[in-house]
Amino acid sequence: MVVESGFVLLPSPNSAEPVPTAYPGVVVEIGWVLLPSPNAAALLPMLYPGVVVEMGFVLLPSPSWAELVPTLYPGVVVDIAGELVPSPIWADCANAMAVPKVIATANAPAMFNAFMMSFSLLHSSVRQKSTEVPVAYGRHAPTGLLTGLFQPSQRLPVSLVGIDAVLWFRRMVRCRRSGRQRTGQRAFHPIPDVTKPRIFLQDARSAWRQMADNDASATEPLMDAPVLSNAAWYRTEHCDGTFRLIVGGAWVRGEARRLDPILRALDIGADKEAEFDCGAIERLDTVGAWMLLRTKRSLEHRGVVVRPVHVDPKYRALVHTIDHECRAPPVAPPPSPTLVTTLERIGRGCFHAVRQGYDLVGFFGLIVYETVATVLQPRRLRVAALVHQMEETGLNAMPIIGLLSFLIGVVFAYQGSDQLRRFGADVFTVNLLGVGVLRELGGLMAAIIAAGRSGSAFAAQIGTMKLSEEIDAIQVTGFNVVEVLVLPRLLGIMLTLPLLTFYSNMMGLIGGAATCNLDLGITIPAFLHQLQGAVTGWTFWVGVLKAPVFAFIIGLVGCHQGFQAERNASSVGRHTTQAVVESIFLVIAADAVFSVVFSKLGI
Amino acid sequence: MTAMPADPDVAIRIQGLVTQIGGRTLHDHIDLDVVRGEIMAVVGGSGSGKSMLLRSIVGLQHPAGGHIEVLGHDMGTLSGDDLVDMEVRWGVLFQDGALFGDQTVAENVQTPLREHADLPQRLMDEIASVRLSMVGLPPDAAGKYPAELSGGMRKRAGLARALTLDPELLFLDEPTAGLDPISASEFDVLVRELQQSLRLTVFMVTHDLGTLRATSDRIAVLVDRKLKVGTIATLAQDPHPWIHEYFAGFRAMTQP
Repeated sequence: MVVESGFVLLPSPNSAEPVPTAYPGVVVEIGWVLLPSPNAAALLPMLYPGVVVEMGFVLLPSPSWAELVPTLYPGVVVDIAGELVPSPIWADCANAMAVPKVIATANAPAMFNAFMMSFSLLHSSVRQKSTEVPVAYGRHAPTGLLTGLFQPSQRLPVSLVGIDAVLWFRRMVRCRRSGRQRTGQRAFHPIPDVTKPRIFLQDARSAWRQMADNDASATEPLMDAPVLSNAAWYRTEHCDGTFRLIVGGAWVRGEARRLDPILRALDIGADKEAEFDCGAIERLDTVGAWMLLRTKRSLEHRGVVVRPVHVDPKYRALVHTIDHECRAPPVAPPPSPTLVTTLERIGRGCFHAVRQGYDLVGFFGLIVYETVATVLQPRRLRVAALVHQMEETGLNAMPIIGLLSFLIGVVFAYQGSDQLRRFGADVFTVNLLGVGVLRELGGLMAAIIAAGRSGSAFAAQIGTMKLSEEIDAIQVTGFNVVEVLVLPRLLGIMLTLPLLTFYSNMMGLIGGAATCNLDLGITIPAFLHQLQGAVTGWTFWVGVLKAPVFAFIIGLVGCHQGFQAERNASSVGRHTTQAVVESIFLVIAADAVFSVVFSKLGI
Repeated sequence: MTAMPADPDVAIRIQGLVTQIGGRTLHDHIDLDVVRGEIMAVVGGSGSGKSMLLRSIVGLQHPAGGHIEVLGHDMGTLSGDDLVDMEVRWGVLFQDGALFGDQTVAENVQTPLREHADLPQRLMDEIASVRLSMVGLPPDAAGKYPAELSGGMRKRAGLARALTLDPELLFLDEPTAGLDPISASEFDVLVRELQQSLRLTVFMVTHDLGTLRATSDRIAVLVDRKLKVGTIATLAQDPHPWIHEYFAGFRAMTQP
């Protein structure tokens, strides 16, 4: 056995220290180490302080890896810069043949390992500025990475391969950490002085040639070898005027994002005939089959004669179905927004708003007509439904309206007393409270809560009934829809909202009185006395008289929006929202009109 | 997903399934094996729990007892991502199509792709078109909303959506209910053709004798909270009065 001294890769920087003592005479040089993964690069400085990690290039075994790397190591950017050829021979051949796509070799993973190893050795030599390129033999490789490619007997100077690897690499696959990364490592770091050892390139080529001659498997046809057994791959060939697309692996929807643009941009050159060889397809779904058939059709469209596509028998029926039944043009995508479509939307919106108002007036007329008819013919009123609606909209609303009005009274009294105390007029808080709650706040609170509770319920109930064809059923059974559905709701809320307003007024005053009692020391009898002087009968009636009008607005808008709903779930939701928004808006607008009118009348 | 030792030829295996709704027992320890590549039809009287059986298999209804195994996985133990992985392997056509009302037919068909795959929009438009022509819908149906379609077209659109992810298993809930006989038999032919070309296993709930004859390989009859499985020929000999009467109608139809 011949012992040759060369380079030994040590498992870690720490292990370099004991070596000189254990083996006198052995010199340890710290060079470059390739790390198993970008994650390790982040870890290394923590484990071994002082070690600098530089991010450079990594050679990938095949283009398939380029897809995989960003998913494994987020933040790592893979650039495809050119073509990887397994050896200089192939590069020469490829140049001579002008083959457009020559990709990695079948034994790319082994070669990748060799590249990785030689890469690190090359760097150590570059670092030392030595002209003597260090030599490593397969058996010295700590992980046996090289054994697959280089038998010890061959004694191939690996570093020469490394030079080629670097040069190819620069044309081919660059893997660098993007500059924006959060890690503290230096961004993209070009390999220093790489061109210097180029003098060895010729030797490397001859070494490769020799190796290729020895190893028949190196002359196997090239292909983008599937690293993952289920990755889709393809390769193209030109042969005697025939273009061949050879595909394999899993042609499924998960691969479509990658394959779709490639197939769309497929260039077959000047060939007049084409052939698809799909025999190596392991899995095929509709998306994959469609991409192949679409490519076939687009070639046929260009006047290329395409032979029938051959696939595994189990996928034949699928391909046949798609090929023979699906001749329709693709679904037209919705137009992207332009100035015209924007204007169109604005126009539609305006038209819709006008139309809505027009419909509401029409509905208003219908309701008035039906109400008058019901008044003339009281037997038509559905008392049970009316009572039910009064319970729903009135009785069941009492807790929430009571609580909110009480709190509004409390807030109002606090704010009023804060301001009036400055003038020593805190007793007038009672006047403020009485007028404010009775004239405006009590009624508005009740109306707004009724709009939120009952207006939305009307719209949702009627909309859902429309959805499930109940309204049609009511109509064809000979009932009057307005009489059955609208009048009980409308009358119910019109009867209960004045009562709720009264209740709301009282709760507001109680809240105010409680605050005055506790905060200002105004006793309840004093409060009532002051209140009597502050409000007149009209103050109360102004608030309560507005309630039926508010109720009418809420009922009208709620029912109308319910009828407007189309027969789908989202439309019901949309119209329910619209009912609440529209009725609150109209209630406040009506309140403003009332204020103007009452002030003109001097009430 | 936890792979279970299972017969690879069995797509759905139901063992001792008990279903109770509101204290009423619908299924009382029923067993059923659906073999890969067959069309299994389930028939039974109204309210006998046919649809509930389908809902139990796809996990919409929790069984009170027993095991349901779909494609080798116990449905009772699946949850989270495993369940989603399972759900992309089957397609379900509900009774009225259950199309999303605020999306066009094309968008309905693309929805599963959008959720479970990452495809360019242009390719998705093409795939939607492929699917729609596969189920026999005219190209102009793509831009329509479900409300604008007839019942038969809605079912076809629902079938296109169920098939979007290339499922291995297809569940059909009363596929021909509400269709006229001509549309119904066209739909039967479509299901049979697609089942063969896409190599589907079909589990179908139906009432329709025509559908049974045109499509099903085997029939499971749900009577008295139990399942009786057989072919048309064997079930016609069954002494149970309901089955007898049901298939007597079938005989009347087949004998001119």
